Amino acid sequence: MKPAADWDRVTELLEQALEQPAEGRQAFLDHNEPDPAIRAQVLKLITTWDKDPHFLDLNLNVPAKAGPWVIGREIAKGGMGRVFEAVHEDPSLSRRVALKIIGTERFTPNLLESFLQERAILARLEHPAIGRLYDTGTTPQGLPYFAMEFVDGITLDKWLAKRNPGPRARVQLILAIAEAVGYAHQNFVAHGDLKPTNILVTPNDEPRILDFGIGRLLNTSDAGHLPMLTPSHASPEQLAGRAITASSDIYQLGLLLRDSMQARDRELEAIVERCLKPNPSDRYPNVGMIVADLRAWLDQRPVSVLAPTLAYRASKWIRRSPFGAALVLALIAGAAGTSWQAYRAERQRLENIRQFEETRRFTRNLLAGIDNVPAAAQAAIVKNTVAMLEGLTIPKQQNPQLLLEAANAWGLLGNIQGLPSSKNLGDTKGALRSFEKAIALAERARPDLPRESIEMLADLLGRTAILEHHVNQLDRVAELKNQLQSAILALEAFGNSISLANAYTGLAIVEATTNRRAAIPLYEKAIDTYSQVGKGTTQQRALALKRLGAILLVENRLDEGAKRYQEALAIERSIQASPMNISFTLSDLALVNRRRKSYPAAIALYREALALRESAHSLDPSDNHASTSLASILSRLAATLAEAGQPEEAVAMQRRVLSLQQKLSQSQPDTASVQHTLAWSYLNLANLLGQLKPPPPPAEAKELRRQAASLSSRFPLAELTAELKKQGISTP
Amino acid sequence: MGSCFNGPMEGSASPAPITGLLQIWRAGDQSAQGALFDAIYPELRRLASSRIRGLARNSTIHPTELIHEAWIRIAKNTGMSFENRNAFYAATAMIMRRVLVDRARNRGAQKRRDSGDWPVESFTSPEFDLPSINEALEALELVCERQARQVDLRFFGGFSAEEASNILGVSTATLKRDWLAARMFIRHFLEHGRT
Repeated sequence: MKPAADWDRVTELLEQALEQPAEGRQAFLDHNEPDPAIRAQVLKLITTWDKDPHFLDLNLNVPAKAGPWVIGREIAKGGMGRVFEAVHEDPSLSRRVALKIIGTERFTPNLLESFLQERAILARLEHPAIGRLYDTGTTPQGLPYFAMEFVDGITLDKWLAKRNPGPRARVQLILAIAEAVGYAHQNFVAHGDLKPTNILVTPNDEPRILDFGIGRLLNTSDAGHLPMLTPSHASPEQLAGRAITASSDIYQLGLLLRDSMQARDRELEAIVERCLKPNPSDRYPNVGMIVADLRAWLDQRPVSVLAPTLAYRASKWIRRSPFGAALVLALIAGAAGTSWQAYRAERQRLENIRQFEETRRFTRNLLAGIDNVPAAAQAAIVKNTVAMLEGLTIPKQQNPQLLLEAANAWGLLGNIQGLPSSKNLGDTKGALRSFEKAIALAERARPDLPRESIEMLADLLGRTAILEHHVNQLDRVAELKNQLQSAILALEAFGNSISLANAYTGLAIVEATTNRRAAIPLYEKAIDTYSQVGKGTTQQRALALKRLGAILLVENRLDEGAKRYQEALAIERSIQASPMNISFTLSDLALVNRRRKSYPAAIALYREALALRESAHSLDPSDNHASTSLASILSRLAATLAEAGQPEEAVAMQRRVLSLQQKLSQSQPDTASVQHTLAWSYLNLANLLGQLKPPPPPAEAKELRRQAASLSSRFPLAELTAELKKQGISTP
Repeated sequence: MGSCFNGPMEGSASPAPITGLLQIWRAGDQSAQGALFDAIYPELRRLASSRIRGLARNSTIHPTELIHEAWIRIAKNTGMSFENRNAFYAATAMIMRRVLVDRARNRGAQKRRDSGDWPVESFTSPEFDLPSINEALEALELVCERQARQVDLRFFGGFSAEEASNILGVSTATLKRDWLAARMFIRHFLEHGRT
């Protein structure tokens, strides 16, 4: 999909950008990355991180206990941390709390200190609508926690949606919230993050405000850190990074009131408007006045904010309101959408066939060359192709040939979207959808063009089954397998063809996912059919032979396996397959021979593979991949030689392995796995030396083991230590 | 599944095939790994599946232990060398994922905690949809296989960060950076799908 280099860059930038203060991230990216596509990718991930920084974060281990609290089930997970149900370790207290663990790297030691200073004040807040804070402290990992009153209730937004209270009940609830906020303000504590999810409503319709003071504590962060606020519920001055004041709470109360309102109400709208003034000095001067206005509304008395120019104010409010704006946008978008659809329908009606031909050319040409276009363009091409194909309506009386063309186009598209065995965009769902459409179209063509449509169906069913297996829909795989079997039965009636052979292969691959042995006769049929069809099937035949060879090898039917691999090898040689590819086949065939103890054959094959890899290596000695491949075949050859009783040459081979591994280790000095492989190379050579007759002086083996031990102490690995111990070496 | 598979895996008189299979797979070459791996896949899958299914509800067996155990057993019986150990771990973690996702699909919304501190289980909260995460991982595989493998190892295989860095052969710094990007890729994918 994307070149790995690009994604490595995205990965690197993401980490660096998140080390910047929030407001500096955009500038950081602009400054450091010229490619706008990469910047956009990083920004997307940053937005995701802002929402849910701890997603899948296994580092955020949940301790069994925090302070005196024994942690139980998780109640909620949010951007700031996770909330657990917890009980006091002293059962006689029988106190149940909601324990919030703040999991953030942004919680600096400075912040922790100010938090500890203020917690005494917070713990003093006692109000029926404020969730009590019982205790704070830090977990064994050093993360701050808050033990709060456990409230049996649902969040305000859920309460509104589920209970659907009347207008008075809604205002009464907001009033109770405002009263509690007023009480806290008198105690010099602002909330700072009043939002529906921070307010629980009990079964008695009483509100409990959670996290009082926590938002404020977290927001008095040292400069340069993003305050942990909720952007949709933050006041303008909070967004501007200024400290939380009582006025921010007034703003957020306004939002709560606005969002609780069911129907338009002029007086309540006026109250909301005053709360939401951008400039704090234009808002209510204190919460007490909001409380008074809400009481007045409940008593049907005039509210303080109601001015003579109400109609004007209201209309202004609507225009300013985000709802109004959204509505206008939706209308514009809707109108555009409708006319576009009408246009498309008309065009389709008039040009159905011509458009179809266009589509055919379009998919054929573009999809054929898609490998060579950049990832972003590939995605766009696929998207456009889907839109074009979706737009096609093929009438019943349509030429069946065209139905098959469309089926073919969907099939090609599906391959590019997500067929695992080929280069694809990883869109499994999209691919399955495309295959489904292709199958439906091919089915429609079946009465008129039985053979062609069944050939196509068999092909599509096989590919769909592999994809469904890939996503573990095993029931669906079984179903498709049955369909594929009946398609094969139908195809067999038409005699041998490449399509039939491909269908056997397809069924064999599907079978092999669950029942390896059942695949054997199918591969045999496929290979047989390819041979009978002849021309143009060699490559497919070689592949089927190798797959069958692998299965026979696994089934320990070594002679048969060897035969298949030999045939595959002969084909690959005759069609001049790539040397690397041939070396792989040689190596597999050598393995079969090694297992059936035909050592001379195995050794000869390994040598041939070795020669091919030697030349790849000599082309570019600095290519780590070529070096690794070479070392790998050398070590297999060395092991086989030793098994065959030729330790002298085995030692020589293993010396080369060692020298290659030493070079690899120098080029990747910090990569543990490379260092481990080097350590094993030392040990393997030491062991082979022991097989020589007469045995050489022990000094060299000792030195090799010492080298291995030294690596093992720098890159510890249990098995390496165990092996060294077995050989009588203790690691420092 | 064909009846012929009930024998070897369930410990009949047949030689323990998994051992031989893994030996073959290990000895096979990289490109052949495709064909060979396909060939041994049914057994590996059954092994993982039966072990996971066999775990008692309150068992605290960790998948890492299962994987280590399988490795040690195989290495001991076959004299398997160290060379392919990491590939084995990575492949086994991937199979663990497939089995778990499959199981999550089959049992639908039914949740249970049955394997101690296994991260997969402790993350089985309602918003944690394994099949979707699997899909996201498949997308990530195409963008950066190294990162997808890390998620497999740590999330499904239960390996620690340090172990994963050894298995993948990457430095701790790369591992950390990859982990962040991989998590955010999956999170973004879950919300927006493929973009």
